[in-house]
Amino acid sequence: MDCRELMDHLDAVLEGERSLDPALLQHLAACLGCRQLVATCRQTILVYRSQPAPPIPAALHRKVMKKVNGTSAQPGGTPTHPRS
Amino acid sequence: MATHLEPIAAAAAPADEHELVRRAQAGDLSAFEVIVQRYEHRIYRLVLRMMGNSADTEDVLQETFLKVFSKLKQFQEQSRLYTWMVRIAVNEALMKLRKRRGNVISLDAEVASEEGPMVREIEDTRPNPEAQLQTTELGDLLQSSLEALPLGYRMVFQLRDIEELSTAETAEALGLSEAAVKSRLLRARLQLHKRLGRHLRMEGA
Repeated sequence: MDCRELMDHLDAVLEGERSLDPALLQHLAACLGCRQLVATCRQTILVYRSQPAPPIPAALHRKVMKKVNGTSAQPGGTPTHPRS
Repeated sequence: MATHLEPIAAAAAPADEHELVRRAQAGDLSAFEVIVQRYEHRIYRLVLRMMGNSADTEDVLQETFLKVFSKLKQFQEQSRLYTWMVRIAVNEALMKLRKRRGNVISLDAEVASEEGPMVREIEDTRPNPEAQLQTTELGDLLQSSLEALPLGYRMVFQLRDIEELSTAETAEALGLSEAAVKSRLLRARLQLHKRLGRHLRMEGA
């Protein structure tokens, strides 16, 4: 196992697959560069995921529903809009 | 150590989705509105990263949900609703970009020239404990790093790693092969690693 082969299995490592090739784990234990790669990739993904979604303009949802309401291309004939 | 990494799992569709889709397909607008409310934030974020401004993003979002509504009867539920909607949103965004730039934009743009041998540059990502960034600075850095990626890489990273779609779902949403998704995801991760590595805590080193 070398660094290039580890990159081929990066997905499996990041996803925490239980059945990782022992040779891959051995390489990770011995290679600081690959450990850094795995750690920063994982950290990068988690940091991006933790970023809050940008706020949607307040009126946008209403605009979307108004357009949908106004369309003649109803998927099921006469639209129904029961109040709940 | 790598053996202690937490899984980065794909998110599952909500349990009531089948029923919501069935009602919306029958013309129930309140059910459709629940679908819009459930996914508009994620689709807005996705499209905003493609378009780069809120005005175009609003246009694309409106067109996307209008198209989702008008085509909902064609949705076969062989894929997740979100994946299907992402594909529509990506197509709408690409059309808008084509109009804006007056030329052909595709997810292959900027990618073709980078599909050569991968260069792994991890030597300059030594831990730098002093480089703890403030939240806003980190947010800016994340945004600029993502924007620096070619569109084809950015979209794959966005869908696969941020929105948590599976490889197959990402391939379906973007109209790519699974092999292309894997290759582009690796390149995106390596480029982000190169740009962000020194700023992030190196917990595995």
